[in-house]
Amino acid sequence: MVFPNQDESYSKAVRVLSRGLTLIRAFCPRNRPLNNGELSVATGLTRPTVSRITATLTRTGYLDYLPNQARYRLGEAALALGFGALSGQDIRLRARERLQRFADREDLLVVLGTRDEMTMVCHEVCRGRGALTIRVGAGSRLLLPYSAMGRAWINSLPLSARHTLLDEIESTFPGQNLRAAIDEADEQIRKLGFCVTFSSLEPDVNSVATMVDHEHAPDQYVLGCSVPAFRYPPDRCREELGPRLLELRHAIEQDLQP
Amino acid sequence: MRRPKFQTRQDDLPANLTSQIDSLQRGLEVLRCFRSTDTALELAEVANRMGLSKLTTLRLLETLEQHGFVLRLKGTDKFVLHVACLIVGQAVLGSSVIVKAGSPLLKPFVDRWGGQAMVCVQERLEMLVLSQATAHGVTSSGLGVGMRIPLINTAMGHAWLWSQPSQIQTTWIDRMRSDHKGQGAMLSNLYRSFQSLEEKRVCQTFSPERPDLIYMASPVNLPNGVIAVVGCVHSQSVNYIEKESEQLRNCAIALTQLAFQLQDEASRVRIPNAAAPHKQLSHKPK
Repeated sequence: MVFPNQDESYSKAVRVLSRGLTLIRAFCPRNRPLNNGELSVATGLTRPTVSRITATLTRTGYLDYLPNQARYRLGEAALALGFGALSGQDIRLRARERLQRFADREDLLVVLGTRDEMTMVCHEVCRGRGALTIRVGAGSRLLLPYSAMGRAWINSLPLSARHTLLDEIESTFPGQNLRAAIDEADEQIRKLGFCVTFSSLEPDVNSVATMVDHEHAPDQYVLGCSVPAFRYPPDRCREELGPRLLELRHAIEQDLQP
Repeated sequence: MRRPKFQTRQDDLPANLTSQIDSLQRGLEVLRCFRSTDTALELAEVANRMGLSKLTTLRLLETLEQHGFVLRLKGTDKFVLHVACLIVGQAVLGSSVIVKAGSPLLKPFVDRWGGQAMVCVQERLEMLVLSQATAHGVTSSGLGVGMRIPLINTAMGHAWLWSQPSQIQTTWIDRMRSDHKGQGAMLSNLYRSFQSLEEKRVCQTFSPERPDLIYMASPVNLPNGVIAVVGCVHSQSVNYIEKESEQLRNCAIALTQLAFQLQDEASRVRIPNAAAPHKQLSHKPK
């Protein structure tokens, strides 16, 4: 369908919505109260623009105004913006039971996440008793190029998008020489179906990750698990943990079949 | 026939701003028009639900897609909700006093009484589920966190309305009378709920969509002045025997206790950097 991006009213309408969405996302992930000035800095929008948008969003209930701080935060009505409809059919909920059983049985931490900007957001986190010290919880953000989940996600990209992203990674993390590690992850995924990192994000924590195929969210969800390195040295990660994670992935994909 | 699903309050805005504000509200309404039973929505269906042209709807959807709120399925005109909806929802839940106070109370409740328990707040014409727990082995009623329950014909909505000042009650009841002419049963059910709430501070209705499900609800006065509602959902067996009825009566009493517990707990819970909101959600039906 032709998209008439030359049209002025179109541009205005899209711009206003786009700014509103940017402002809503400025409160994520912790919903920290922010005033118009702070929102202006966080979003790059002018204060008058921020002021107009916060007024609209407050009137519609999506923002709460905190009078004692003279700040705003997301109101409970913002939960109605797709969360309920999505979470009911979201694979997180449908996979949760399997994830917890896997975490208990293998005594590790297992995560289902998606990419957001230069991070992987951990949506569902289940941990066994032996993984209590690994500092990851629901909502945690793992740096994209350092995490096994991030590298698995990068592997799923089409070639052109991958080149663009790798350039962005180089400018965001200068001098880190991450390309070699990402290429190695590609090679692992090609051969084994999963990739492994060793003490990459956190010292003495090893991780394994693989993509989950979901008809309605292709190339979006990544399944990962993390273990203390002393229990799972590199060989065990490759030979035991990776294949078990693939089994879990296949079981989840089976569950998601219509 | 196309029917606009949103209303704007534009009287106080300069004319050149109203169209811009419209596009923000419309874009957010697009997210609301997805239902939990929709796996993916065609552009035409979204346009129909919104009462907008396909072109305008496409503009909104493409902007939402750029910000990660929807995803267009490859090679199709179909859209699904996407990760930003989860991120925004999680931010709301993580900072909600009601969720923090209510969630630890719901699990022991369903462990004892079975079924499903939830905490809701009013949002427009519906009750929005903020937190819920389902007893082990019970099939979910489909009322998950973030889902919306109709206000006018459910126990959750009745419990909220009962807690409102009479002026607000009258506005709602007048609206029910005009919108549901000839459906006297709806009003009788509401008055029955009000009577039950006066006597026992708890009310009961059947699910509007699934008559085999019983809804029970009790209001909670939160310290910041917001009225929340604790509710529970039970499946009614075909043979509605006396023993089961006794169980439901006891569960109703426990629900009122749960409401007081939540009230108490909410006054103790502290969320970092959070404070009481300035105002409640809009109470008037639009």
